[in-house]
Amino acid sequence: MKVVTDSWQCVPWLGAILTILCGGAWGLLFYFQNFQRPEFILEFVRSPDGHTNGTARATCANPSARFWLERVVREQISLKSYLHVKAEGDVISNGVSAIESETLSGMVVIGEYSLTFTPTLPLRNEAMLEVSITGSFPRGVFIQTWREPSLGAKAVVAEAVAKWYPQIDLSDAPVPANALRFYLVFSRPMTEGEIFRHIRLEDLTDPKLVKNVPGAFREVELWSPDNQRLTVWLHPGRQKAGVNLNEDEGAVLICGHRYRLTLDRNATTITGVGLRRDTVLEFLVGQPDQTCPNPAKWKIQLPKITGTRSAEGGYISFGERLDWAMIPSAITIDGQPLQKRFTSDGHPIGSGIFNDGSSVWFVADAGHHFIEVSPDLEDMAGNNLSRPFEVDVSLESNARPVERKPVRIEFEVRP
Amino acid sequence: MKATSFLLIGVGVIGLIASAFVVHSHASPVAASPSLLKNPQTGGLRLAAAGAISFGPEGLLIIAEQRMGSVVAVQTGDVGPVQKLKQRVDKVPELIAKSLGATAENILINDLAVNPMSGLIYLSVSRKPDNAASVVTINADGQVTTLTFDALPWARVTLPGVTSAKSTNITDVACTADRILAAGSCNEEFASKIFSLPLPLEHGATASVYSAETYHVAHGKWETRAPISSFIPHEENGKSFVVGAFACTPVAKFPLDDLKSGAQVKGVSMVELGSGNRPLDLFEYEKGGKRWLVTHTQRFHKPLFGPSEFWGARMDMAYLNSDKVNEKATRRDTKKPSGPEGIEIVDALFGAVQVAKLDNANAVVLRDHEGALAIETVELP
Repeated sequence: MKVVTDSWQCVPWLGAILTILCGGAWGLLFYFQNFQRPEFILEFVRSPDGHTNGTARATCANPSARFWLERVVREQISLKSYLHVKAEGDVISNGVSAIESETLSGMVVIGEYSLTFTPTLPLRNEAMLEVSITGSFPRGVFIQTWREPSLGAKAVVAEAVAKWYPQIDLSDAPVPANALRFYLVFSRPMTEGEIFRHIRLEDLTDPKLVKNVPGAFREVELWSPDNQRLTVWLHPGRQKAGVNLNEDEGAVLICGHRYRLTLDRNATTITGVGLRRDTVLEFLVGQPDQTCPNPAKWKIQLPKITGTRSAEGGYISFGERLDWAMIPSAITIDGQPLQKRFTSDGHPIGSGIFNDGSSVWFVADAGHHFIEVSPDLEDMAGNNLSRPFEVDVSLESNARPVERKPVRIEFEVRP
Repeated sequence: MKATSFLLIGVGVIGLIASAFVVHSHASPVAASPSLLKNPQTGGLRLAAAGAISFGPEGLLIIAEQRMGSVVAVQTGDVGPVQKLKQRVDKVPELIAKSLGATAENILINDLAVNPMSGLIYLSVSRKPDNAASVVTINADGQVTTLTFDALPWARVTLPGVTSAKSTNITDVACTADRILAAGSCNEEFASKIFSLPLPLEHGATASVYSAETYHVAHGKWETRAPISSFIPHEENGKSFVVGAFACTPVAKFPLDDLKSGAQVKGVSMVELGSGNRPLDLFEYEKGGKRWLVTHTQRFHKPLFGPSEFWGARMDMAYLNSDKVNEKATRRDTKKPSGPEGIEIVDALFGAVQVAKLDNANAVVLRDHEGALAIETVELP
């Protein structure tokens, strides 16, 4: 650690006089306890790979200064303002530009003989750090300053990739004109705050003229807690009949048209790296879907059994696309969420969903089984098992309370 | 004898000199108030996100960790006296960036609140690209300080239903005398929920959260589960309500008394502000013997209602007691700055990206000034 400033101001002659007046060994000790300059050793707290989040620990090196440090701590003096950490340049970017030097916000913890500074927000990537301790001790003032490049938390510089869900293409069944949601799933955590600058919806119906669809999205960022899944709403105010935006602006999607959703490659991960490529989804739009999903109409193809075990998986086909993200938690088989699992001998059990959201596969041994479906499960247009997305309350049939209870389907797999 | 006296005097002098350097500026830890926090934590608070913020009693700061679906309450110890911002503070993002190891363009200011007990301005911020979150304060002199949580008691509650993928995006938080309220929308099903968390807030107490799926009636015919963008708690004739503004911009009222966990609460639309707007903030104030509800809104369609897409309007809160609801709800005259009577545009709020009430005479606004965001106090009409 390079020390760039090291000063100690006191009144040396006063120390000498007092030492003589006090006399003997006690006086000598008193002199060292009061006038010997304190020295600190500074180190950054580093991970095994040599990186730091900016946490710096200054440990008092000489016994005489420790005496006063202990006194200071005992008397509960705040040393917060005595330890300053400065960062030069943009500590976020990879290239350190050293444009300016500013004092970082942080917290100081006073140990027995040490001060530890932890920045409010961890530093990332490289920055030139300047750490200084300013001490107002009984017989003087000292300043000790270090300057050293700091390797911030190791940045993952690999590009990320993304996928739209449900995964569909132009050969698949069209998306309902009143569809509400798509999902973007990322291979790495992404930056929040400006993602909608990178997402667009285009109408490709006229092959000679690609038309951007303005105001297509409800631009509220709905991220999963890990920042790896974004829910993209087509504007519900336009997709839903009877609310003012729909009446004023019209629906986002038009039946019979062809569209392209694009996430451009400039969206960044939390390490500031872009995407490998633009992420696109092209689809056709069909009639609006205003009916509730009905599990009674689902088709179940039972697994084929060899002995007592499932040799070939079975399928549940919904007959429409359900909300891709809700399926794993809203449908259970034998009380288990849809998840592929294995027995101890490697035999596959469990289940999984297909990426277009229209069916699931499952493995089941011979015997009695049941599927349970949450009443909150929605299709692409927001209709759930209990009620359609659009409820005309002027109809008497819609005035009665909605019954919300899970739907249970039982089936038998025979050997 | 003489030598001993001299020695004692010498030591006394040393003691006096030493004591002159002792600066008793240590910030005392804030004692947790049992009426606000139960099983409080002290120190070690790292915010996973910082979205909507609001204040409760005794300087209790409520922070929505919006992506995480959790609410954090911090007892700041900031209990006054009131000192109002003396003058406009320019280049606020730059000032914040300096203390957080970032550049101004990498700072996002997510919400603004003013502690009514002290006038201290609080901003929830996040840093790009790593989404690191923090809260900063701006005092009466315009000094920007990062809030350090090391000596402050706090409690965190995660709303029910949150998993590694599924979350409730909290759009607004507020505090009444006996509970914290949060509104949010799920990142999966289309649902608007109100969460009620009783005070004292118990750290980790997910079981004590009540939620109510909300509906309101648009145009008297269609029922919608549109998410509440912003809300305030509202008392009326001894009953508790939430007054919320929706993305489709009606102001609706929901009863909260006898709230049961999992209940469905149906609200009624009271006032329509016009389509193409995104409500950002609501607050109420009292002036001239009237109570006013201020809506701060971003317009995303043309034509604009003034010099900026960010605009505000106030409405006489008597409209909340009107029997004209839903399809008969009062509609703001979007072709005029005011009208019908008791509803008007607040000129002082044009251009404000963030707004918070300071008192019954003033609001604090964050808005562009010569190319950079500045914070200032404006007078309420």
